Amino acid sequence: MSEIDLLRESVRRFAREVVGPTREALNHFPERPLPAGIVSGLGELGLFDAEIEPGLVSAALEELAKVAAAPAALVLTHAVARALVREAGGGRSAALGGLNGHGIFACPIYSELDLTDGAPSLRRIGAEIELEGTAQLVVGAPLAKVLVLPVRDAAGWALVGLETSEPGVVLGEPLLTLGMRGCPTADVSFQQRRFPADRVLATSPEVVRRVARRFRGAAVAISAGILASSVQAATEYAQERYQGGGAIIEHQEVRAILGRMLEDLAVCQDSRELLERDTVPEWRALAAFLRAKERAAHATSDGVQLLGGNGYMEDYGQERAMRDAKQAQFLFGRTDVARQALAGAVP
Amino acid sequence: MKHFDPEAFTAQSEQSFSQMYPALAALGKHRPQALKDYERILREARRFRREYIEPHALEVERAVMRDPTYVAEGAIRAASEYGFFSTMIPRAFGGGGLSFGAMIIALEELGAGCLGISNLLGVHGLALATVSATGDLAAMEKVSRLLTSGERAGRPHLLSTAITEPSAGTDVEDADFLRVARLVSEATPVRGGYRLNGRKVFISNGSIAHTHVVILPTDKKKPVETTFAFLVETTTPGFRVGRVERKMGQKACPAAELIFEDCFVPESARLNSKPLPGRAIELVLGATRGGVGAWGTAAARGAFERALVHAKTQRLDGRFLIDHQWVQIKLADMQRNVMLARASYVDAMLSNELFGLSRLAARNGMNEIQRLLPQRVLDSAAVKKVMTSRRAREGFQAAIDELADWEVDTASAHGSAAKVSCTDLGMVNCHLALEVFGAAGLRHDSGIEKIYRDAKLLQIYEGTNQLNRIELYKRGVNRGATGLDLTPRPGTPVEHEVQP
Ligand SMILES: Cc1cc2nc3c(=O)[nH]c(=O)nc-3n(C[C@H](O)[C@H](O)[C@H](O)COP(=O)(O)OP(=O)(O)OC[C@H]3O[C@@H](n4cnc5c(N)ncnc54)[C@H](O)[C@@H]3O)c2cc1C
Repeated sequence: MSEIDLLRESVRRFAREVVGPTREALNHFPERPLPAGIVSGLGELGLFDAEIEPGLVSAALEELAKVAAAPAALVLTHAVARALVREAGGGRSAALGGLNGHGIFACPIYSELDLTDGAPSLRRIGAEIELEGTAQLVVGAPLAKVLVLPVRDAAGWALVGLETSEPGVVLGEPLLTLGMRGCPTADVSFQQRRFPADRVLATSPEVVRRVARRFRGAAVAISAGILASSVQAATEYAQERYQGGGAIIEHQEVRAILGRMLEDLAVCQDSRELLERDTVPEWRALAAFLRAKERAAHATSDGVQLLGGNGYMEDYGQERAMRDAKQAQFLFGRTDVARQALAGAVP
Repeated sequence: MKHFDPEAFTAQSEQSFSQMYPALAALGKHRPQALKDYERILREARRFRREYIEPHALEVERAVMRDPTYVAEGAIRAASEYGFFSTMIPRAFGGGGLSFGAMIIALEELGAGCLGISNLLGVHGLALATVSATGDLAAMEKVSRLLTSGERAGRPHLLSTAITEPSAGTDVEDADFLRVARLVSEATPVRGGYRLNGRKVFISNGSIAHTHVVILPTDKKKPVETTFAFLVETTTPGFRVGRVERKMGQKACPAAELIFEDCFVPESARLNSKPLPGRAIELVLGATRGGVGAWGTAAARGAFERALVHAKTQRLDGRFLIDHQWVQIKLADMQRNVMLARASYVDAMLSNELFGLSRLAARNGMNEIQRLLPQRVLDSAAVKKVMTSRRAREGFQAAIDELADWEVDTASAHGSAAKVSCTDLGMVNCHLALEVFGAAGLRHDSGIEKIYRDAKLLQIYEGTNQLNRIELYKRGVNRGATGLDLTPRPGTPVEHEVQP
């Protein structure tokens, strides 16, 4: 068995045996506490390791997301934030990198990371920096050891890396979000607090663009995993559910909807595979990335539809898939903003 | 360049009646009283939205997330003060005496604030419509009195309508499918009344209603011939509420299972003399599906309004979102979708007034008479006697029978078309609005992700959007097509009578 297959297999088992039984509790976070054993289990699988390759992350996330997408979002966020720290280079980067294994790396992964609207502002004062404002929706923050945050400085953009334990870092309450509940997320604010200037890891947004490109496949893997489980549940239900004189899968309209869902699943899986290759032109990679996330968000709504009233209830998992897939569409930012970067690419 | 003029800008939530409903405003020239009613209810609904719904909707939702049995008492009390539970009840029965159409306009306005709270009020209205469609004015009078006296005390007597069964959802929404439905519930005739057994599921307001309008066959093997509506009080022995569902959205309005175990109801609990399937059900659904259309519009509008505010106040890449062309185009699309959706449900509402249930309610100038008589007279025993007399009841049934098939079909087709179009557009606008919001929209406190979750229900209940397309086909595209299988399997002989 290849390394990837081995990892898939152990993640699959972990998802089934550990994550599966806690799905309901995960889904009610933050109203209910985070179930124990998930984060440590993900760590034992090596998913928070510093050296883990994007390709391996991607395989693991697809398997996880078939059972629950929230832990997958946490793993992806950590991997991206960790990669940002490493990519930035420098002494501070090495020091923070050394904290890998001691806690989660968090970042606002649903935002356009290369833009800083609404982000905290940074002022340079001699050998120090002053941070003011709130970083919104920082994924992983309530569990985090390290925060990796784009901020606004006079020149435009900067990336800071901070430890959550540093004085002046104020963590908000865990946020209730559309989807990915159970992946603890919070706002982080600063009230004109000063930090050593080496907290600035990078000043060119190229860093985040490069890292985001590398993890597109992993992001799409989450969408693919969510949609795979939605298609499977819808298919099984359609075969079982009697309505209109037969199993509903016998009705042409139901078949058409299921067929469309499978088309979308194929798009997601093809995109993931495409994104794992090294030699794909940028325009095709970006196109695959945007298309897959968007199609999964729409298809999972059909997944709810095919279960009728049951689809709308928490018990069947379809509503969770619909919410998670919509949230996953925002990984690395809005579709319509990213899409504009495609224009002008001449194949 | 003038990229934004605060003087000229009208907030979407401040649009005037005639901006929102140009067709109705134009028609109002011929029906000034109806127009006055519409404008008044829009004003009141807007005030309720401002004063109660907007400040409390998210908090109610969080409370239900913590405890699914939480009841939005505050919303119920506040809505009672406005008389929203009895808006449609005839004045002779102590209600607001407004038309179904007026109620629908209120539902859009309230729904743009919170679909869940609007639904709590609306499904109650659906139950009233069901009772009124049976023509049983005595029952209508009884329910109305309970309701209005409770409402005055801030504790309205709430209603639910229970049709769906565990193994029959789509199948109980259409007479052809009903024939092959696997029903588990039945009202067995016994001496002096009926013994109810079985289960109903997903019943909106089921766990908070005091009276349930329960649709049941007296012989579940012959549902088309024997289905009637029964009024069942929550306190009836043998009745109980089962599980209260944990739903994706619309959390202010609970959905619950109703369980009947040898639940005896007297003969008088059966509302109608003729079986419901066919005419009566179709009239009700023709009307209420237009109402769901108003909710679809409300979803489209709620999403649009919030996206617009966000776009005006938040920046992307240094510029206000509203100063990006892609955002402007999205906002224009959202506006357009609201207009399209509203036009569609207004058509359904007018079609219903011309050909459907609302025409029956307005027949013989009943509405006009009621409007002119002082409440004191309407409350008198003499009026009550006339209203609940056998003659009145037979008159109502005769009016149902007198409608031509094409008329019932037309109202029904419009209802289904509006239901599908508006609710689909509601979802479209949610996707568009979330794009404008970006990550900020994923937060519960943004209020926008809630609309996305709430709106999804609209494509499912009151007949799924698939079932409603089938209805539109049967009532509009290919009138007269009946039968379970309109798409016969290969090899089945079929005869088409095609008219050139
Ligand atoms: C929150 C909520 C509140 C509700 N409130 C009420 C209420 O107050 N009162 C009440 O009576 N009911 C209520 N319902 C029930 C609702 O009306 C049903 O859920 C709806 O009619 C669909 O039925 P079902 O859930 O059994 O789905 P099913 O009928 O099992 O449908 C499953 C899927 O199969 C498709 N399908 C079924 N038959 C066919 C066919 N012949 N051809 C093509 N496709 C088909 C459907 O479109 C759907 O996609 C509520 C439901 C929900 C979720």
